[in-house]
Amino acid sequence: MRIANSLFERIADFLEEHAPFQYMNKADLLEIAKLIRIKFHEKDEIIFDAGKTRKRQFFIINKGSVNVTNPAASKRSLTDTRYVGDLLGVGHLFDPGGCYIHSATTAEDTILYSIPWEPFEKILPFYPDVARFLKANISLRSDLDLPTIAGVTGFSHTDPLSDTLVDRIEEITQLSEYARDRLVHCGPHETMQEVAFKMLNTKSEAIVVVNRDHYPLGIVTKTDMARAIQSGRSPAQATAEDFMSSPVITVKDNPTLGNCLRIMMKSGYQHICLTENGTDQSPTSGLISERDLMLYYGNNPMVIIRQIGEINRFEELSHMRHRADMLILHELRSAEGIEWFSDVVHDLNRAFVKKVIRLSMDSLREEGVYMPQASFCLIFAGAGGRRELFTRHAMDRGVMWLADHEKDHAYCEEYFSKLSELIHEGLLKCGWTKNLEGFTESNPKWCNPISAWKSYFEEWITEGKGVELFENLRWFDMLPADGYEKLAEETRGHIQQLIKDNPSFVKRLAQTVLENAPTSEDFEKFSPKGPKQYTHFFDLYGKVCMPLVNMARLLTFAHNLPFRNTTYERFKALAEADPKNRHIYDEAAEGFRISLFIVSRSGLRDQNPGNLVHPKELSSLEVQLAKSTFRNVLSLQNFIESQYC
Amino acid sequence: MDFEPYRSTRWVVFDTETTGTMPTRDRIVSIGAMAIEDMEINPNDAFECLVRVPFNSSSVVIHGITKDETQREGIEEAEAIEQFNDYLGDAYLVGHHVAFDIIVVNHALRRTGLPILENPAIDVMKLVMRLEEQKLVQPRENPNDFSLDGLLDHFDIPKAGRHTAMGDSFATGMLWMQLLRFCKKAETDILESVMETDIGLGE
Repeated sequence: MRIANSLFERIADFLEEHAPFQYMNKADLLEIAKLIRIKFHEKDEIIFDAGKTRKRQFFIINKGSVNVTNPAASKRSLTDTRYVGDLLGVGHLFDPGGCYIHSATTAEDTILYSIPWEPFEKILPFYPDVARFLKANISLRSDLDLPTIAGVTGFSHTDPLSDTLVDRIEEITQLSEYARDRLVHCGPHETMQEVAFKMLNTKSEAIVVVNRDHYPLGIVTKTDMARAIQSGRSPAQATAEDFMSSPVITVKDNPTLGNCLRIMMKSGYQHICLTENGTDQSPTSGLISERDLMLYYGNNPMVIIRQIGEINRFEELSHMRHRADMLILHELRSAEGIEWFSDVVHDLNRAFVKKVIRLSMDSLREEGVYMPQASFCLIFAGAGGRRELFTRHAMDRGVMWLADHEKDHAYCEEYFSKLSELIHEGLLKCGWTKNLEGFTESNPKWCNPISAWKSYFEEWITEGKGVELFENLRWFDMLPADGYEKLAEETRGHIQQLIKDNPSFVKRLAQTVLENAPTSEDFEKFSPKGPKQYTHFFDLYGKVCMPLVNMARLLTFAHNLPFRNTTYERFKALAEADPKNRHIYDEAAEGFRISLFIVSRSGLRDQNPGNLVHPKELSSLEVQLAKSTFRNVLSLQNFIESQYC
Repeated sequence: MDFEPYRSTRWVVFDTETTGTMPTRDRIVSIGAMAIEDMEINPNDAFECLVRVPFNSSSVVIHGITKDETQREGIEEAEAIEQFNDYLGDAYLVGHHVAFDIIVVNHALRRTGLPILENPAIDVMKLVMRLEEQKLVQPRENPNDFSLDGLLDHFDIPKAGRHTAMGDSFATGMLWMQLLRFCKKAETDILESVMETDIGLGE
């Protein structure tokens, strides 16, 4: 018999077009092709049945489509329709010898390629991406310790270029070594002349002043040197102690580049000292300057934040924000980076808002309208409050204030409402767009004395329900953006106490969240390969991100956990607090992360909110992860219903 | 119909590429064949070969195989046809306009001194027409289109890499598995009704 190589090639060609086989080399695909059996199945034929022992093979659809359902699931479960190129029955890999959890039935006349596990498993160790992809295919099952989407997202194909910011922020060792090499120090009593010599000899721009135990006391920079000369004192007499800048910002040795960047962005300091335990009460081990970081990589958010500080026109701010968008889009390549970028984008948003507030106050002052004697705080709500606002869309915000004197109340009201209007106009000029309900901030309802804010929360927590409660949930994520942060913190404390005192709130909230939750029908419309009516844009933000946000918030309240900003952090904290359900929270955290990543990427790229995602634009892994997340959303809804309703 | 005996039948779906359309004069350039047993294609039970031909013919533009290529990579006709004959054994033969392919194979067998094929054979085109008569399949839009492409389109079979002997027999194999399912629904033995056993040399 003559071997039909072109037949194997034909089969391998088909495999090569579909994940995860596209990650395998041709020689191995040809070997797999030799193992394959090809079978035609009529519509409504059962491929495998839930509860039956798993077959020793899995399937890839060559033609037609197959419905995968979980007959044991409660009312919220998903019929996942698989199309050409999709896999079936890969659970064996993680539960060998177990039973099928789902049933698979052909939705039309279908051709399946079956691939036996045993030889396939032998080559699997050589292909970690294939293993990860197969994991993403596994269904959520909370009573089984299956490796699921948690740990799957680190997929190399989403990150083909290794030289990304996210990669570089992990370059811990080199950075620390560099910082150690750069460390030049002096004693507090050394003269400025001696310090100048040291700086010249070592070509340093700054020198750390340390005590006898090597603890950092301060830093002498070139600017400090200029101050010393300007003072007219003799450099041979003035000491380092007299002119050093202190205190110093310290960080534990071996920081990540990302961490250093954030510290500098937040503090505005240009130098960071590395010390053994991270405080100024331990020996100094290195010095990192902003300049060093700039040299490490040129275009970075810190540069943009610095430049924002120097801008005096809204138009330039808009341009700067566009630059920031492009930078983030360029660097945001995988879901892992999303947390770091959450912080960076929050800092950027804050920097913009702060600048807009300053410019607005200036323009009021020019009109002779002056800031009253009062404290005020601009708060971010919703996605902004959760540090999850990547695009210039729907930045929910409010203003809370507290007059120093009761008599100024009326003026405060007038001033802050004018200021709010100007901030609103300023942000529009910077390219922020309204959400469907308009700007929250331009609505006078959200510019209030702190007492009014407290009353709102009292009303929502003691008796709020239904649509009204649902629409105001965004305010529960409030985060101070500028001004007197204590006002926001005080309000937050008030919220926590109210929730504690009103146990019925969690139940009402759970009902509200579930009333507005997505259904399995919503998810069944998501398919990159299905019939035409299913391949339109999918509201990933509204149907996945927001339900997860709402459920994470609810569960955080239910468990009385301290406030945490991001949804990811909230799920992670829940996993710690409620370890027996850890699996479901971990899955939700990962699912949220990948969904937010997809939405943010698409929004930054298309300069729109990014809520609507076309399944065809996603990689095959992302499609699998999205589908796993759908199941997750539904499971979490079932879980909440059983626990809190 | 009683389908059970056919379930375990070894069907060999095959196709040949030739130097022309005159079976008495033209030669086989390549053969592609695959077996379907227990309603399943096993790619290891397949046959493929390239046959050395003495001249280039106008059909080169269809199958793209040149004389030089067959001289370099092919085997002699006698060896090819003997191996193919062994591969077939007592399988039931299937193909699109399969009579033509059987006739060219039979001529090659005769030139080699081997007995010609007497295996039962089914032409998928004839079967589809019979299924249409019995309203077991949707009728084709154009009843005068007898091409394999037309059939594959009608039954929505992927056509990647066709116009090679193996490409065509693979596509025909997919079609065959689908057609067998329709046959099960027939009241009479529809397969028997289109089966041919004495195609011979077409003379």
